[in-house]
Amino acid sequence: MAEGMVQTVYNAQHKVPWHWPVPAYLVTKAIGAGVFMVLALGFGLHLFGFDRETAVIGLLVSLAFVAITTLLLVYDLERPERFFSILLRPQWKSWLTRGAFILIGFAVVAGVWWLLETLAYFGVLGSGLADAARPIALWTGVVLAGGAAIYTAFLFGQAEGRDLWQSSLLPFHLIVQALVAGSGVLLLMDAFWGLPESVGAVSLIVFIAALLVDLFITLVGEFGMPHASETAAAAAHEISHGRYRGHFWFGSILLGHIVPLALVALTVLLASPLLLVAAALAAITGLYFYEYVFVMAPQEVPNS
Amino acid sequence: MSAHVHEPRSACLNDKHAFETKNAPYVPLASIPRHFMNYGFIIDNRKCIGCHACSTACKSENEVPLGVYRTWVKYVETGVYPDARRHFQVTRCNHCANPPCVRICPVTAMYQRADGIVEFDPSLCIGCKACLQACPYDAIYIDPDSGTAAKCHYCSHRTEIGLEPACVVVCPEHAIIAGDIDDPSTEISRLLATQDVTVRKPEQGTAPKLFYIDGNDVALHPTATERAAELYVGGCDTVACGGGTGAEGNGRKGGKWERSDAEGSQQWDGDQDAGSAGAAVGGADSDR
Ligand code: SF4
Ligand code: SF4
Repeated sequence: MAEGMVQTVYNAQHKVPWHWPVPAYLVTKAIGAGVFMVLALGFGLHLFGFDRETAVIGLLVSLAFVAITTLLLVYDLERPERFFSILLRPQWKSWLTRGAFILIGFAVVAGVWWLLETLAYFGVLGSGLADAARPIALWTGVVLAGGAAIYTAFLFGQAEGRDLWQSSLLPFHLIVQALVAGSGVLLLMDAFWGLPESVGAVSLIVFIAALLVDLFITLVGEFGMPHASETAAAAAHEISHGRYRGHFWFGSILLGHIVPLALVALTVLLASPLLLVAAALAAITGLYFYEYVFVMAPQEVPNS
Repeated sequence: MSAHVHEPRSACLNDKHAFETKNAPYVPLASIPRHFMNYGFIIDNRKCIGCHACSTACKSENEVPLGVYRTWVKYVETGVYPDARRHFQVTRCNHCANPPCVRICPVTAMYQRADGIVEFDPSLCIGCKACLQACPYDAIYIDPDSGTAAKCHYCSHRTEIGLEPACVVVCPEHAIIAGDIDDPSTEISRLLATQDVTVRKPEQGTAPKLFYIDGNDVALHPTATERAAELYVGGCDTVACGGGTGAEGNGRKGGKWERSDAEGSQQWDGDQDAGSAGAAVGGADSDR
């Protein structure tokens, strides 16, 4: 061995506990919360007029992604049949517990709102009840959707064995990611179902703004600043220069940010809806790449 | 509170009379109310010979499956021939006073007892693996048979009936000292009062209650060393494991819990360039 040998020659090794279901859950949760936030804030702040058909389809998509999120969470358990223990004997200091209840609360509020709008849409109920419940459901839902988007930041904060996850930017970053994913899915819905023009326009503005902010947070905030600990720096190094650099630079930065922004810019020249479809798909795929490296790299820094 | 001074011993694990000495009659720890206790460990590195008796006694006492460990002896080598040296570090759960693994558990399967032992309950665990992410010391694993979290639990089943943990009893060098760190009459308290001790990662704020006498900086610091992966235990499906023995690999659910990994040695170095980082951990697919 070289001069000044310093080596670990015998140790027990540890398996990486969380794999692809966790980054996948982060993406589906971002879509579920993001679609709701963009639509509810749009209706609530009168960025676009209320349209019942958009609400029915949008809430259904949001609920579907919350359901997929729950399935991924349960799938990742080693004892999935015990999932209900979280609800039956909750340990309230755990953000896993708090998050489960936030997700349930969000699903209940979004589900009730969707039901009322759907019944009104098909004429089963008069629209009076849906109209009366809407402001409450909308604003409660926005708060819960925001909670669903960001609670993972606090869960990751409790994961004290992974220093890179202790980022104080993470709550804000998760909200921005939800806006990217939510507005991206609304652009896809616009292309396939034809949403009202104002909904499509607002979604596009949110999509561009959120992508730019996300790019800034990622490059300057998460990776451009010095890290608080050596293990956080080691994980960040693996992402930006190590084994995950391909996922990060080509998957997250190029495919997830530069390509969609370029495709959106191209729509000025070629007014093709397919460009926006491709942009939205690229951004969501890129988001998965980012979540993947962010979840995996810190788990590979040895703790013993 | 009654004094209970334990002398160095090497005894049959279940023979409580082996603990009696002329000066200090055996006082079952179980006779002391648990809320007055605060259990901790000292690992005396001046005495440890790296024999792994503790690792194997723990395996046997707690029926720990192949491929996972509640305690093990980490070997670190430093220096230049002929001044090279091997350091041993018994490594396990620190029974932290401020345990993040307990805070994150959604169902109280990981919990802190009144006597300071951080214990787990496999009948409650849902296998979310959050505690594995919360422990900054790699002390927890998922039991491949039950799919639930497990780790050193201070042999609480023995402690409750007045016996010491299996590793303490089996150690031929009396390098592991267990006891109540709040009782000034115990051997562990006396050592804590008179010796310089260190803990792993004090900056984490977890307040570990496993103290090392003569702790080695390099061994205490997981990212400080190169890793000769072929000498690792645990098979080849683990973090930083290369061409290992593979003798003890495990994988629940047909590989759900598996990954292949690196070739060659690994060194964590914040300054390493992209090329060396790639060589250190490359050649692996971390997906399931
Ligand atoms: S060492 Fe790890 S498992 Fe043990 S109490 Fe501390 S945080 Fe929990
Ligand atoms: S794996 Fe088990 S013990 Fe660990 S946090 Fe999850 S439920 Fe609790």
